[in-house]
Amino acid sequence: MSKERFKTLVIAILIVAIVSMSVVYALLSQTLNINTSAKVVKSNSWNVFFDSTSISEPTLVGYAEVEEGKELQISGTTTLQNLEVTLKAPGDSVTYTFEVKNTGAIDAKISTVELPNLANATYQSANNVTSDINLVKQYLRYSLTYASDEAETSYRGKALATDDTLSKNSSRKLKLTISYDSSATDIPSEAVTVSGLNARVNYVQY
Amino acid sequence: MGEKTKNALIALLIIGLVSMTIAYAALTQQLQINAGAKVLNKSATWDIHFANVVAGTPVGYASISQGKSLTGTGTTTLSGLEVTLKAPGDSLSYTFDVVNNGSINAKINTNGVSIPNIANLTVTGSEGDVAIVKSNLEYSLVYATGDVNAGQTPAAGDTLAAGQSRKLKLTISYKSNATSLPSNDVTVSGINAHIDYVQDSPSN
Repeated sequence: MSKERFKTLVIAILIVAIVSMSVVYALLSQTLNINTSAKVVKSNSWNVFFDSTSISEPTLVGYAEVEEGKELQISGTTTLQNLEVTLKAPGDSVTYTFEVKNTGAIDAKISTVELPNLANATYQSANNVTSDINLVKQYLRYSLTYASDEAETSYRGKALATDDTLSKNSSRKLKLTISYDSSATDIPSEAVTVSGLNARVNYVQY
Repeated sequence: MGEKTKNALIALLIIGLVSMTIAYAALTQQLQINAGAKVLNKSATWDIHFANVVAGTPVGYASISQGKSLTGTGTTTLSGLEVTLKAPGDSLSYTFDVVNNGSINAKINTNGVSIPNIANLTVTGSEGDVAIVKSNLEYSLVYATGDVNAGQTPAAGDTLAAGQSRKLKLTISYKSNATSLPSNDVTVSGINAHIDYVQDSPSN
């Protein structure tokens, strides 16, 4: 073999060796892929909401008031908000009724009910007098139940609870009451504003 | 090619080969400690793939779209799945094994796990529908029940020894506390995950 051909052969072998080692090294890793997609079907199959037309006028007991513009209002279809009540004496109360409807194609039930924790609500007064705030904490009442004229008689007056059903094409009439306990022997010396009285009812498929 | 050029090229290639050999030897030094194994031993194999792909029981009204189940047993890519979700709480899961059928221990590479973030995917539909779906569609890829890391997402450094398999669980769901669904059907494609395995040190 001539010197020229020998050198050419050496170059070829070295190139093959380098390429081979690169290939061997590259093989020692592996990417595993998981490729998926999802389709979320439009809402006519699931539609649980507050019926805005069902919100009643407030029922006021005693000296209770709802200031104009502070009535219970609907936001979107699943949130009731804006309510601000004024209570002046023991036994005062404000009550609203409204309906939650299921117009979807799937039966629903309650999975969780979160009622406001009055102890953790925000209490404020002009001078933040502790005794006044403690008084309101002691006697303010919040209630969310089925209305007394709810179609399902076994639910009438009952507090909302886990596993309560709401079948498709049906509705439940609910009652919200905020009151100052009639057994209270005192009222605060100055107005106490309570905020954060928020409740949440979660419906899931049944 | 001139004489000098060829000499220079040979020298360069030899340096390259020696450098790669040194680099490669450094990478495989631990193999040699364990068994004195030859890196290029033809009996060493590298084979990581998916196996035992099994659909779980759908929750609620969830279903697998017609003809669109997850497939890919024996390969390195699972694909084809389209899940249909109709109501809050719907979910569908699959379990499958990641199998190391080779003779080299493996581990998940640094930054070797990519889990899709639904919020960052391209979803076609009205603005409102897209927002609803993005905020309520959920994706989970974790080790399945029975694995030492059950419930945890695969992570860099997780090992897969030669001959070992680990079971993973993929779940696509619609939040149970969702308050709304889109007004029109919304398809979310490109929900892709990948896991990169690289060689691990030999077992002691």
